[in-house]
Amino acid sequence: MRGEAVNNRVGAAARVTADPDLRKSSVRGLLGLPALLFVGVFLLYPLALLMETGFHGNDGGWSLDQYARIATTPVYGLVLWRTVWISSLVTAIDFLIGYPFAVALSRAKGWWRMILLIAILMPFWTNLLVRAYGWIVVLYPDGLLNNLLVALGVISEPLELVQNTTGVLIGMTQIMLPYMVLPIAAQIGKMDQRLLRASRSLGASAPRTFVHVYFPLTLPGVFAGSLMTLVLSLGFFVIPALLGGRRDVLIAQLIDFNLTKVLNWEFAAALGTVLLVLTVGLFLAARSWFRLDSLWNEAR
Amino acid sequence: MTESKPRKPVSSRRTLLKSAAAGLMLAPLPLRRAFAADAEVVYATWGGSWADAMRKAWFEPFTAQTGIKVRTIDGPDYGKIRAMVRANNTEWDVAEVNPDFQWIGPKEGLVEKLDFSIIPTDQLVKGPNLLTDYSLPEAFWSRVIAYNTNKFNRDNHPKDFAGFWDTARFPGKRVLYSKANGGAFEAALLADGVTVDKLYPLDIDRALKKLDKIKDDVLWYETNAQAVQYLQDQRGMLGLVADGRVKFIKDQGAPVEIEYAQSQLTWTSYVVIKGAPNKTNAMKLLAFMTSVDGQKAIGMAYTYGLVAPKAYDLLPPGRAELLSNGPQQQGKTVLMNEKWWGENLATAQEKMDAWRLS
Amino acid sequence: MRLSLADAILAGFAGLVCVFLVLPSLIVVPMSFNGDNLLRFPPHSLSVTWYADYFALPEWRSATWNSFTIAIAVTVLATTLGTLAALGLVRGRIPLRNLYIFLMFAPMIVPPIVSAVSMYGVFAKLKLVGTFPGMVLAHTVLALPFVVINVAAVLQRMDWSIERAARSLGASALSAFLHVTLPMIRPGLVVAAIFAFITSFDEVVVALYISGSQSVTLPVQMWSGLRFEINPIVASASTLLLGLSVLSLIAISLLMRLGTGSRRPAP
Repeated sequence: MRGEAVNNRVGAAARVTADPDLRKSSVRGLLGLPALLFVGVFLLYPLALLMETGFHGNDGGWSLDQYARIATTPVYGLVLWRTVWISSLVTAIDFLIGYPFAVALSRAKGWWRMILLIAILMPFWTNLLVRAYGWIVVLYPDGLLNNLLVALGVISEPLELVQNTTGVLIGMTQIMLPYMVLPIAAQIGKMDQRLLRASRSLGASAPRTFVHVYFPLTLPGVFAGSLMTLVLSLGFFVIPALLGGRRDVLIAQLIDFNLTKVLNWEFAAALGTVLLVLTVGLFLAARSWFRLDSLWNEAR
Repeated sequence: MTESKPRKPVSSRRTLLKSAAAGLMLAPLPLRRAFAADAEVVYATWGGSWADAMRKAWFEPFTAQTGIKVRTIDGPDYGKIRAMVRANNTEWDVAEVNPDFQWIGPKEGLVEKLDFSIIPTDQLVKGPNLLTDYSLPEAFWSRVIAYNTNKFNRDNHPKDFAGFWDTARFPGKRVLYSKANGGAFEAALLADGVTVDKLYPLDIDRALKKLDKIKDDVLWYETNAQAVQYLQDQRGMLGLVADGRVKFIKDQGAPVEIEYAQSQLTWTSYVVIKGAPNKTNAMKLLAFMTSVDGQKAIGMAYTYGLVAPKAYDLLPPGRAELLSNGPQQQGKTVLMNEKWWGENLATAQEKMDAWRLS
Repeated sequence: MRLSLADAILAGFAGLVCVFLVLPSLIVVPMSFNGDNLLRFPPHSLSVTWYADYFALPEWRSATWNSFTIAIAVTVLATTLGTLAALGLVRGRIPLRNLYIFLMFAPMIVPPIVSAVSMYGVFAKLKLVGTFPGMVLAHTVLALPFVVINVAAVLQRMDWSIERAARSLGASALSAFLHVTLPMIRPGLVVAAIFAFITSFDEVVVALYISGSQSVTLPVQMWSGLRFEINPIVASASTLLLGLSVLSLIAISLLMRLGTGSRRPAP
């Protein structure tokens, strides 16, 4: 990526050759240990205990019955597909909305900047259920939005915006937007303005600079935001349950049902494992597609 | 679960000032493990105005009589019950549950056998599945057909589920519970002409075919609060909703009325969790609550149906009609087979989810 | 930079997005003043009873206090551990790097109910259920991935030459990190801390399981107040939190502006 190349050359100019830091790379790797132990003891170990039961039959012995049930009952594949589909849509929409918003946020000054900041953080401060009910009130056929659109003459008949997939998308997009915007904004905030100026001074037009310098520099933030958005969406079910329609059944709902209503933990564990594998698969696919190994590797 | 009374504001200005002062002086309440210094019973409830009513009708009198305190916690989640018992860390004594737990609980080893030497049962209503070795019935409630009074009226409204299904004669959206055991299947079969005695075991495929006929006119709800919101906002013209909730919004002025024909009668139950820290006290509380006097008290405080028939005689005139399964409903109810649901919920829900996605 | 047509369009778009972001939260505000017992918009009558109730009832007060104290502790712990982990990832060599990443992200990937149910058993054995430390530990685990992602994202684009320059001038590794690197990655750290705080403050499912029967957090309190029947106190609690967040955001904004000075390299 050209942006990175320019960055490297600028950095190389100031680099000291006998670099003590490079030698300590493995020791520095140990910094990652406390967090891993933490997650390991308090989540991974308990999770493993639960996931292991997914490989038991309903009578306790070792078997693949649970997975067989998932594979042979069509509804589970359908639900998983629907979950992935909706989550991907949400991520894509959030990227399209969130990226320009992040740019606007970084360019804003003074009170306008404060307003944008407050706006992007406000969803966090409102309880999820409260937001869901808030959306229902706004999106009703005779709710705020429809009344406004009708009054403005944009539409003549109210739109069905809730109790269907549209409602789910609207609700989830709004909830996930901060997760997309903030990492991108942080990345922009770190951007070396000299690179942009250099590009312009070398004769590149503004759009070209954006495509070849600006955007690539923000990619780690885009990836971070997209990752959080996609992964969190896959585990969602409160919003779909309250704002969705007949077809909006997502995998997390089924897991919750099996864990807390019929107490079939073996089956829930199997469903959870399938979801986990699916998520990892999506993550790996996205990583190789975006070729963003660089998120974790040092920019040399 | 089901219904709520109007929530009265708790504070007057004087109480507010007093509690503000107290609040400033009190150290913040830290999370800490329970020290059961006093005799107590831990009661897991659905909370809200129902819990307020129980406190007034049962818990405070019980404490006055026995010195045993009742501490409530909100949200009797089955998953948590299982987690507690499996971890040998049972935090609750009594939980109010849906009747399916009467079978799920023992099957998973999550409940204690009731001590019938402490709990008398002769005064309890007799009926299939109501009383088991592990559970007592708590209260009756029913799902009823609610209709919008602006669009329909006393003479012109669905008088049974066949009418509920008639979208030509009674146009508008219908509100139904999205859970498999939310009454939609029973309603569909009754609408299709199945007689009550042949209702169970439910023919789910037939019910789903019938649901197909109105599927574009259905608003699915996840919580009772949602259901009545639709009725109140007149999004739904008809609904199959918990009777207590409909009565509540009706009292608040919503344009709804109830049709009791074919009302689906069901109940909630108590269980004592396995490993309960205060088992004997819990049994005593259960005995207190299901006694005739206890039932009369709750009948005065709330509108659920009583489980001790003699208690109805103790109520002042006119009160019984306000309760679920009261005189106004006699002869019109269809009793849900909760045993069937306890055993078949998983498969039924799976079929329903498949149908929803189709 | 000059204000251009592009900027104007961008600002207009951002304005629309703002409305989209705040609408459902703001709509609760007028509903909280509704006099009767239902959530109505527009409100039928005005009253502040639900605010009075919120302050009067001990369960709401203690729930609020618990939520704040737990979230603050979680923010400190998660940001520290997570920043270390991000450093280890970006600047160090970690064996089986991809496996490490996968494991560290597990708390975010796994649906909360699955985490809650599985955590309960182990936490109960460790006698952590219903305790303050237990809640902090549980929420920290959930918050860690968010911290790692965000700190790693800014570390990845760091110009390390400046830190190396500081080292070559004699600063110790720690000192260079604290005085050179840390200020440079501040935007990422702030974002990470915000995510950590919110992950804890707004979390309901794990809290339902781990907070035990003695006391609850605010989301749990609200959950009961919306699930089984609508308790209008939820609307007033929501509005109060909103007001608090706006005030604190303004405060943070001002603080950040004061520290912005040397972030960008001079032209």
